[in-house]
Amino acid sequence: MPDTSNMPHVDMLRSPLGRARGLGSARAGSTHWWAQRLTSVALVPLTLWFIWSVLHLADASQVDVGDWLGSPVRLALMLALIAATSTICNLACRS
Amino acid sequence: MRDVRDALMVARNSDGKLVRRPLSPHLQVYRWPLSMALSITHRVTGVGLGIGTLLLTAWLATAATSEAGFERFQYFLGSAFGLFLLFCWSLALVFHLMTGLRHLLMDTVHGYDETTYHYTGIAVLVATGVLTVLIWLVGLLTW
Repeated sequence: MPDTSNMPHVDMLRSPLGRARGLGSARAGSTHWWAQRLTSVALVPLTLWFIWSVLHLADASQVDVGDWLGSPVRLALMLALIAATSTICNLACRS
Repeated sequence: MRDVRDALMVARNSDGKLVRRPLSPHLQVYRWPLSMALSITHRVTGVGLGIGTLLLTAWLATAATSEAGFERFQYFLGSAFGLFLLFCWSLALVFHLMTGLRHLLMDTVHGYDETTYHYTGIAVLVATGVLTVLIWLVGLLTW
């Protein structure tokens, strides 16, 4: 009898419809997509602000940095930068 | 027992005969077009920037704790290795920002045709080079 183990054949008792039903979408993609777009859009001005700020602080002392970050607006921007960066890291590594 | 995934690799052709599905060739068979190189570099720089954020948080943490620690950290950043790290980081940041802007443009369903896609890719490279050099010129002149 010839060896047929390498011939194309089906050895799973499952219909094509059943197979397709087991796959399908994850149903959570649009939230992920939107969050990634929101954070990336927010990071455009934040990144430009960050580069500009770092250039200003090139030879700053600890007191200078303290004074600089003492402003509530700058602190909020810095926290937003770190939060948005961490979020996009998490989202983008999974997409 | 055979792997159940083998069942997914078998289908009927138009004659109704059972055949093995062909496997598509993977990355190594293609020559590298610009779009492919930019795409993978976007991801690599993204991971690099994620790790590089540790440098920012370390800088903020030393600024919040002690003067001596902050001075040491600033000294490290001003050393040859520190400047090298900062240069790589700024290059990655500007590149990722530029390719990111290109991605946002593509999200508006623009720039997908072959010519535009190629030229926006070249624009990304030119803008990255120009902006990084500009940042370092300003930084080193005001330092």
